[in-house]
Amino acid sequence: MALDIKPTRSELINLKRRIKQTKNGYKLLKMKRDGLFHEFRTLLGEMIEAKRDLTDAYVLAKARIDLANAIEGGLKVRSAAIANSATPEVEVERRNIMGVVVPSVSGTNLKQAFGDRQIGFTGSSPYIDEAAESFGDLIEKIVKASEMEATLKRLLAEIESTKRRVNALEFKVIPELEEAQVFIQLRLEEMEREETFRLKRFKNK
Amino acid sequence: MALIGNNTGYVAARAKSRKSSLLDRTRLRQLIQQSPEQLPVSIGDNGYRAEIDLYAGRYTGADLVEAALTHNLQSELASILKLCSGSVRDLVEVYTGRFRYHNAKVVLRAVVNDVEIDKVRHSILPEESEINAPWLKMIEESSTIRDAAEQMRRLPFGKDLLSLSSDAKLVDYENALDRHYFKNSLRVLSSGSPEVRMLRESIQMEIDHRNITNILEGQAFGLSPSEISDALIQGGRIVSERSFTQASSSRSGLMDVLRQSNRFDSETFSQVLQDSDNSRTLDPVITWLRTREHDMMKRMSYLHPISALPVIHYVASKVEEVDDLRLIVRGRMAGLPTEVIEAHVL
Repeated sequence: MALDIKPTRSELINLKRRIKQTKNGYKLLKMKRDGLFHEFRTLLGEMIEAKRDLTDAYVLAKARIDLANAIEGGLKVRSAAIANSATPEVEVERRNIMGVVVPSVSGTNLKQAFGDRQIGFTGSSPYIDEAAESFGDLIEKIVKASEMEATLKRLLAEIESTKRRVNALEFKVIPELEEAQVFIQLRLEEMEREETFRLKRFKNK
Repeated sequence: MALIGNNTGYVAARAKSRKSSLLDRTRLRQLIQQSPEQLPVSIGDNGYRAEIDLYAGRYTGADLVEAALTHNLQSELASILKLCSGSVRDLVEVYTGRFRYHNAKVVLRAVVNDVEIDKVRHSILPEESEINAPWLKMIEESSTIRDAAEQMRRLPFGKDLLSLSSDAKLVDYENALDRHYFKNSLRVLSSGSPEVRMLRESIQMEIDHRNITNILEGQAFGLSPSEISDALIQGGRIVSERSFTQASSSRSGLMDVLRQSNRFDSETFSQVLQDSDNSRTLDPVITWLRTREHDMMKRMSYLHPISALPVIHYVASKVEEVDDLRLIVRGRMAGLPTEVIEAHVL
């Protein structure tokens, strides 16, 4: 027995209260773990879908930029790139999922509408325009996937720590407290028996 | 404008001779089969050694080959223009002059977005080429787009740029440049001789192709018919100015306009459009239109052998060779499938 306890009635009462509180905490943590796990599984499905979209978008953007570089030339592609002064910006805020603080990522200038681009349409190259469009899509998907990935990592870390707490309560804290309770009960009973026996001996004298 | 005059015969003969030394299809196919590491060496051995050596200290891989090819092309165009005199020079300049429009756009873009001159010097207009020096100087000496337009006042398109309002944006300047090229070309090619008429037709075909591409691209990106119509270039034969509204209204409107012309194979074009829709890119359309332009250019040079046409055909062939080599190198180094590269090497 790891606990250093005194076999007294008040200690027994305290211990019973602690066991009750611990069991309540255990139940709540277990519910939190299950809730987080449910949230994690829901997000995981979306994340797999988002990653698949991201991979497809990357493959398409890569193929298009390679074709644009090959057909129009790297010099022209770089020249079109310097015409765009709008730099994509990402803003990270916080939101709460069952007590877990996760990032909420939003961005500005991630993708420019075709009509808002600063290069002339009359002499533009469809290869470069298609590549720019694909990269706009890709950046949007990267931002979405990064938010989901960070959320999943935080949730996973929280699930792990909650699971450790639940296991610690289930397999260590509660059994030890119950063991201590049994020990005190037995010790008190024994002390009671000793007292009875002593009284009987005293009476016989 | 008479095509035969001054040194037309001499330049045509020189152009034909130079054309014979260009890489043929077989050699290009051999290059496609080579590994990416072998390509710079092979291209160097095919007449680009001096330029590759010039840029080897700064660039590697596909960037090195592209810089070398561009430098070689600029020198070759300047050299062929130097050979020409009199009226033939004006005609050849229609084709050789188009490359300065791209440099002008680079200057405007760099000035508007305050791009560091070193970035332009190292990655877009290499300083090793003398032709780029005045353009780089313009970037250095301009702080606003208006300043840059002022710097270009002596160039053929200078007046058009300066006539734009003071609050005009980069888009307006770029559109003005593109419009000026075609307007100026049609003006130079306005005489009635059969050779000049052919050249004029080829420019008109180019305008039509650009308009068709712009209409399809604008529709694909969801632009309104009026936005598309504003971006179209005047002077085409198939998509003429009066059919701009109909052609830019919808896909079927464009097809109706194209069907009215007996110069355009609208049936094959419909199939190409189908391929384009299936692959969700305009690549099949552009490739088909480029093949049309190439065929027209080829036909022109055979019809009038002693005129500016063989010279222009040589210029077009040289540009095509450079484009093809760049495509092969960039394509191979990026890992594009051989079939894709072959499909684009005309």
